Amino acid sequence: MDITQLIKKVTKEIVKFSMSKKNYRSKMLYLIKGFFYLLPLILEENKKGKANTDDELLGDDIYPLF
Amino acid sequence: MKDFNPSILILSDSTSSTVGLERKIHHMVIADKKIWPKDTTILNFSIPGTTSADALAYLRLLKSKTKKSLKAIFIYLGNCDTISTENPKGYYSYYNHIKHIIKRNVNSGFTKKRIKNKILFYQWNKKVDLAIEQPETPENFEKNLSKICCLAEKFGIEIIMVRSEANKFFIPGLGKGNFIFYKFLGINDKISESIEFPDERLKKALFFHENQNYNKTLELYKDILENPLEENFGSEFNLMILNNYAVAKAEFGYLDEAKHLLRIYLHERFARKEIGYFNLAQIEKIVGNQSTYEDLIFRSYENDKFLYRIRKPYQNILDGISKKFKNIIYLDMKSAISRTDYLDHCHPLPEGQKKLAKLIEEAYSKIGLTGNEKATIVNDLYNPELANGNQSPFNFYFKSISDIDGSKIRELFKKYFNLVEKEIVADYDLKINNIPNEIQNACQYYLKHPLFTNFDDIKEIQQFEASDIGRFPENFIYRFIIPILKKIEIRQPQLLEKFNKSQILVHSSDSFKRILKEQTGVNFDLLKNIRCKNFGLNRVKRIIAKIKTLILEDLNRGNQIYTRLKTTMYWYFRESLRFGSHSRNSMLYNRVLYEYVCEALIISFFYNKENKYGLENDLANLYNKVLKIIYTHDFYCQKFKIYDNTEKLLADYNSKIKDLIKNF
Repeated sequence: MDITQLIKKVTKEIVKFSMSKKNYRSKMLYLIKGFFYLLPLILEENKKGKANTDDELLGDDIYPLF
Repeated sequence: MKDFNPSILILSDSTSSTVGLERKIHHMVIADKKIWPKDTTILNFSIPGTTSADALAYLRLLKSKTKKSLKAIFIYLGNCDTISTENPKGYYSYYNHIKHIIKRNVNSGFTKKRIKNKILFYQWNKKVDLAIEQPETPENFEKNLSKICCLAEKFGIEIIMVRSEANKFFIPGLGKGNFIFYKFLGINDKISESIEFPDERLKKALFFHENQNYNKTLELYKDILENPLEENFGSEFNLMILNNYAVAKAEFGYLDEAKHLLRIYLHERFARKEIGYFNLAQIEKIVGNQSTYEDLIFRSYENDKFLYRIRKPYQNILDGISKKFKNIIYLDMKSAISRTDYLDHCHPLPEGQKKLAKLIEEAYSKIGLTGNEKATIVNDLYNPELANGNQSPFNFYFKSISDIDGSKIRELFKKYFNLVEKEIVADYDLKINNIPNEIQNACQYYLKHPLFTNFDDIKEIQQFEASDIGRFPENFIYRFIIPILKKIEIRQPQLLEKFNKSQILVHSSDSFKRILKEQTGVNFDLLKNIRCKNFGLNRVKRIIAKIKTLILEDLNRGNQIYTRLKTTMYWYFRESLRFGSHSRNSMLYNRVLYEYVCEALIISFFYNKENKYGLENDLANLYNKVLKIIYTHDFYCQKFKIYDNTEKLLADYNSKIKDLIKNF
């Protein structure tokens, strides 16, 4: 997924999540927090390496045969 | 997240994991008693490696409806928060939670965390840098647990919290880094034949050390330090040699010199402190200085950030939380469990599990959960990275199911068998023929079971499933034997009684179905049947021969108690999926092999009678010998206590094994 697509999708999700809150204050609070805190954080984390199948990943270091 | 209406939720790690064939973990013990109200369901999300952050993440993920149905939450955490990790999870805040929900919904994908300090099992990892690891902080441990308690309070749920304890006398540092190369005073493990290391002198030194040839051992360790290879093995290498040199000196009788060397070792920056203190403690024990021994063992324990054992600062947090919240029933494990109840680092033996179960049972009755019915346990298993946002179910995360589909697997097996016939199965050959390593690994694993005596026996299998070649190829073996065991249960039930007189050596087909479902998420009844020809006379004869070979190989290794203890981290996870996560005395020998042998034997008995092969005497003779061997292993392993002087016991054990070899 390219970055523009990702921003669009995350924005949509943040709006959807915020609008699901009950009162106006909460809606605004989650919108602000979402755009200023979560959006950059998610974009940053997305830059980090994608999952692959090599054995250097956590949970893959199981002793092969007993 | 699935829909549940449980009355109880277990938030714990391997200490409460309810998987495996043996129903001996505390909650399995009480669930099987008729003490519960009607329709009591216990929801358990515990798997090895779960921390307080994962527990909170799971609770946050549960639907409100599920939370409302809960009457109690059982918390038994701490052992996994205290081990160092490259990726501490921290506090699982509400914003973290939202972030993960959003990430999952946009499908930006969760990436498994990379690890630098990989355990290379029997190889030296020169890249290991334990300084980049740290445990979860006690502060975050407190925040996570407090939040769980707050949420429970909000929903009016009672909490039963265990003040976790662990085995202080276990070998320290066995969860991280190059621990396998370290020698521990009084622990005579045998790993020299298994290790891979570029400097042959180390292999030889370890070999002489294991065989108590101290002159040669010391000479070689000294030579390695004075004339190192050009290759840099990292800052830890020389310190490991120094530790081993000191241990060899102590075993040789030079206790003062060994003490001096270990003190020097402990002053070094990259030294594994927990190992140094442990070895110093053993010297004090030898000289009869009990109070210094206990003090040093305590120091070793409290400095051990590399094993799953709860330490004092985390226990203090549990104490604090128990006072802070009114809805907590606090169970002090120490009041019920003594050092004799442990075998590994933190999981009590079945007797200890019963004691713990009694405490927990009383707590449930205090909150009014009483009745005359049994309870049902439902496992909802994820992974130890839940708090990092990874919501993959257990089977997906641990790859117990292969990505390749069944029909493709069949083709690949055919291709592979062709290559085997032509004897071209090197990695290169597999690569150019597009055969994934999973196929070869799985085949090699199947051949470990005496039911599969050669490739032809595997070739007969017509149907393969994705679960057959996943990370746990033992799932194929379960799938293979379930229908045969079912036939035995119906047609020759006396055979099962014969094998399960004083202990269970052959488990029921239903138990295997259950663990297959647990590990792969696949229902056995929905899988295609394995089309396999009947067991002919020749195959039964080959099985008998293979059983003999496998048992002799195992016996020739002598007693394996210390090697098994030292390599606990290698096999624990895998074996806990078969047996359950509690400690077993049978952990101290190769129990899996003997259960495989019994499975092969019972199936041979069955086909021998069905088809009148006339091998009754051979089989009965072998059965008696196998039983005698298993009872011998059990007898000595039950007597073994890590904190006792075990020299005589192990010498007797070895001489008994020699007798068994002679009579075999």
